[in-house]
Amino acid sequence: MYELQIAETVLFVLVGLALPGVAMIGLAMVIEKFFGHHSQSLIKNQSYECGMTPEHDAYLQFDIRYYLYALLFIVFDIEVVFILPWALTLNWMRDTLKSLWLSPIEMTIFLGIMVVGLAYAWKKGALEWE
Amino acid sequence: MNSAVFEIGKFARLTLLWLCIIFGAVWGVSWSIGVLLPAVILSQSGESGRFWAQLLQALVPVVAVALFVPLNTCYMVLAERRLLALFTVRKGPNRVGPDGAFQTVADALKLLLKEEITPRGADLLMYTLAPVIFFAPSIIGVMPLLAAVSGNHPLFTPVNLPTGVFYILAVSSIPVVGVVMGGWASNNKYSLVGALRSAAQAISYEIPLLLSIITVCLLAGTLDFVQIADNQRGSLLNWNILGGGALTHLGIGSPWWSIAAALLLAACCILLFALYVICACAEVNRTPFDLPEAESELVSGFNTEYSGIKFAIFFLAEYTNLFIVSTFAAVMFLGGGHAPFPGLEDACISGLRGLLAAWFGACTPFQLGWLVNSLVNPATVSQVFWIIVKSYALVWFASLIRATLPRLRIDQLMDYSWKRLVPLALILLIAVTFLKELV
Repeated sequence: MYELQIAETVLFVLVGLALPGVAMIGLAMVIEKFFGHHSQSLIKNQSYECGMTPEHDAYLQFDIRYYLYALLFIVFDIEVVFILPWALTLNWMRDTLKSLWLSPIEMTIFLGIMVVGLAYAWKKGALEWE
Repeated sequence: MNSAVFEIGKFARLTLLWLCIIFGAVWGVSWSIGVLLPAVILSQSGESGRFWAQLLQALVPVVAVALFVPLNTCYMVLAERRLLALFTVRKGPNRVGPDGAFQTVADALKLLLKEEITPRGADLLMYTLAPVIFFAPSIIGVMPLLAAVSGNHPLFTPVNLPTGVFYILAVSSIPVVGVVMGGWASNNKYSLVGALRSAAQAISYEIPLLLSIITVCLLAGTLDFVQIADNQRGSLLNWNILGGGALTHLGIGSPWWSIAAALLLAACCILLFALYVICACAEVNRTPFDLPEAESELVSGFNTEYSGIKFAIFFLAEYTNLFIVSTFAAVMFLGGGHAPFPGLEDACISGLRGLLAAWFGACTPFQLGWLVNSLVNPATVSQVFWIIVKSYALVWFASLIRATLPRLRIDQLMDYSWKRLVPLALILLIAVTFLKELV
């Protein structure tokens, strides 16, 4: 049954992506091609940088300052993946384990470790945008 | 003062007109493809036509989305311009059509026929693909919402998605790829800066957004839109924004700690909703967080070099994303397609049903009564009405925010997410878990 659902979902995504999205965009681009106005010139095709003549290409080395945020993001994103099944089975756990507090306390410990990590990053200055 | 009331009246008229256009068109086309044509085919050719009838019915959600997205965007842009005009005491667009109702349609046609300029040195493949990648997720994101909006109407439920919430969250993180591609490929330094800022912003605000949504799923115990909406049936007190029914269980004889926990849970959920609204604004690049296209510093950010239809597609996707997060909030927090007061919804449905039965009664296919009865489904009408009221109210609220708040600076933006919202979201998650066990 689950395999069927996965197949259905994949089909659903593909049809959803292929039919309306790409068809609409393709249609719009075809209309533009046939009815639109086309003329090219050197100045017109310059990239627009506030009216200044562009000095060089924009494909330059760029200092991405937020890679530390990106690292933290990955950690928290994976944490979310772990929390999600726990959140959905909370009621079931309570009913089978017959313990009201066991599973919330476990999650508190898990999140506590994450918070310690966040606090460490904060203290080390990883959350400062220079 | 009088003129303000007058303008609000005009705005209400425009809204009604556009709602009739959007839902009339979408429902009319869906009905003729999904009900009328299959019935005609089946009555003409019998069993051999069954395949074609089913194929037509399977196409309904696709056609409905393809019609709904552009029409809805036309209305949302118009509403935003009229509302901003109202907040700043101007007139707003008021020439094309009655009270300017068709201004955005004219704009869309103009953009469709405008010349496309590709900047010199642009990476052509990525430059062309970027709007597609930005736009496609908003289309596939609307599809499962259709099922929730129409109350699991069989025509609009293309696939049984028991993990709809997870699906929307996954899909809604794709557009930033399109933004980065577009910014990088257009060979413009401003676009590049805008795109990189957009990536930083998207990854920062995704964490609190995910955490707040997970907390709601924890309250509801499911990831299915329709179930989450149905759990909130009944009244205002059952909505997740007030603790998902914690308040309804209270009686005179409840112990004090149960009452306190229920009240605290309601307070936590209201905070959670505020958190969601803030993060959703940042995710769809709305104004206090519209750093990626900050026009006072970056010309127009990642879409500076886009013109004509490609720019229109960016625009379309942006507003559709706003609609998606609003509808998502309406389903998750504000009770989905259920009325805020007990009895109201049932009264509406049974009233409409009685009216239809009195006028037409039972009819054989292709008589007037059959046509009307299959066109107007009272339960669906009520669901659609309530959910649309809620999600458009949130869209208007986003316009209000845009008219009110100034733009943040990039370091303030990152600080606000990582040092305020993420800890708050974690605290709320733990608090809601414990309070839920106490209630």
